[in-house]
Amino acid sequence: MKEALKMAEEALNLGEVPVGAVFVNNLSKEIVGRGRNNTNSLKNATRHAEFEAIDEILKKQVAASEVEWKLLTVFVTVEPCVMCASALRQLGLSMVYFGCNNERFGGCGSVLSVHNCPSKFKELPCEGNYFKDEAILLLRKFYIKENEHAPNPTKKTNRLLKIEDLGNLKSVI
Amino acid sequence: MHIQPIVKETEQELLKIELYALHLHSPQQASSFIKLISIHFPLTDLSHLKRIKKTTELLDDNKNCINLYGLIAKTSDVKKEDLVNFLLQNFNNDNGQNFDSDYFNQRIIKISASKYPATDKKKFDIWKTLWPMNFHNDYQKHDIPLNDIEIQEIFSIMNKLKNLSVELNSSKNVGLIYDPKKKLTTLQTDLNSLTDSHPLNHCILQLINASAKNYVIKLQKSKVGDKRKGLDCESYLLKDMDVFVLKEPCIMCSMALVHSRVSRIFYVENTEEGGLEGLLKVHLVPSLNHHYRAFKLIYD
Ligand SMILES: [Zn+2]
Ligand SMILES: [Zn+2]
Repeated sequence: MKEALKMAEEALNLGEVPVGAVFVNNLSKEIVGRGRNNTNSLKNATRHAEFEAIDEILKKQVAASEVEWKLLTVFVTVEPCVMCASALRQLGLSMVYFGCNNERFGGCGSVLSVHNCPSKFKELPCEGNYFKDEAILLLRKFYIKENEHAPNPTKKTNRLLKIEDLGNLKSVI
Repeated sequence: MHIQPIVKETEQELLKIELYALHLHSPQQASSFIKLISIHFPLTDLSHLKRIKKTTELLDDNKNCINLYGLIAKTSDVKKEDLVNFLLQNFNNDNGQNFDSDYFNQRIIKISASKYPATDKKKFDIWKTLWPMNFHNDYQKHDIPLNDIEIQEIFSIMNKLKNLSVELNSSKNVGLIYDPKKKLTTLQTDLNSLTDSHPLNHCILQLINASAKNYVIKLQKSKVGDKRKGLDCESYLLKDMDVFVLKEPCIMCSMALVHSRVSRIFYVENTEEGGLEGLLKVHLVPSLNHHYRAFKLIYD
């Protein structure tokens, strides 16, 4: 999880939403892929940390069919969104450990439960709250930075800041 | 031939559903409650309901007493004794204070809530008094019917897409991005993308990736060095755009379209793992920040 946080920090330094992910082989315990959010520089709202890591793993292989996804565990600093949760489940990853909840887009319980909804794909076991505070701190830093850069803090950044705080009760009610 | 909008089931009249809720004793407890419960008891088809209800009671001594209730699950889905056991195992400690089964037995109560999301503000204001709800104006937007000219246009584009599928000679899903204002197809599935061996090379993800690549190239060519502007556009790549596919997108692709802020999607065939027609209806989840319209073309 610390390695995933490092990836998130790299994203923060590059002006991306600080989310990081690493994929670990269950047998060798080695990190086989890393990714961080890359939506801004690629102008592509789907380039989340999980997808970047998946593509890194695929790049190393000659054929995509060689990857044994069921032997890999995902460590990601923020709960995978609905899209990523579905992607990880379709690939058949063995387990997902995540940091903080993703109240806006979370696909492992926060917004929808893609990890265990009825489907032909095997359920995707998920567990949160690993280095949660560190993950939240990075997100806060990002939104504060965004706000400072904006010539006059816009509505949008304000909204993001508030939503980012959803872990505490007031904004949920 | 007609076009069927994929909308959430809803009712004109309030339909009640019975659920279990936990009477929480502090905001801190509520916060850890949400974290635990949202993973183990997803709301799925009740995503219009909020997890927490707050009531304020005026006591005799003029002080306010705030009560917090946390939604757990439908009474039809789970037995109370199982809930007590679950909470005993996973939720029995708060700042060193331990709870026993009596505590949970007393604090798990039955509540009623609206089974369906409210389609207009008036209903919303009444229905939410039962149990707090989310509301989105989009439900009204979704009621606007397509006119005859639009329907004709939509069928003719879908026919082009069917021809493309025959041309490409593939059983895989094919699709295109259409700009309804300019009446222009901006991108479509090509031979390269069909032979891509990426396990997630679904046609919608490919279209999104390709249009992002085109956009980056355009930015580099124009060399307008205004970085901030680019940053803001990023998530709105498919804003006001329509997507046409032969098969209903999976959950992953349905959500990729939310991230990309697409305007409408049209498809012909529903799929087993589809994200629009099934339980989840990703394009209409009230708590997501973008919603799009989904339509199924019916040939009869
Ligand atoms: Zn994601
Ligand atoms: Zn898909």
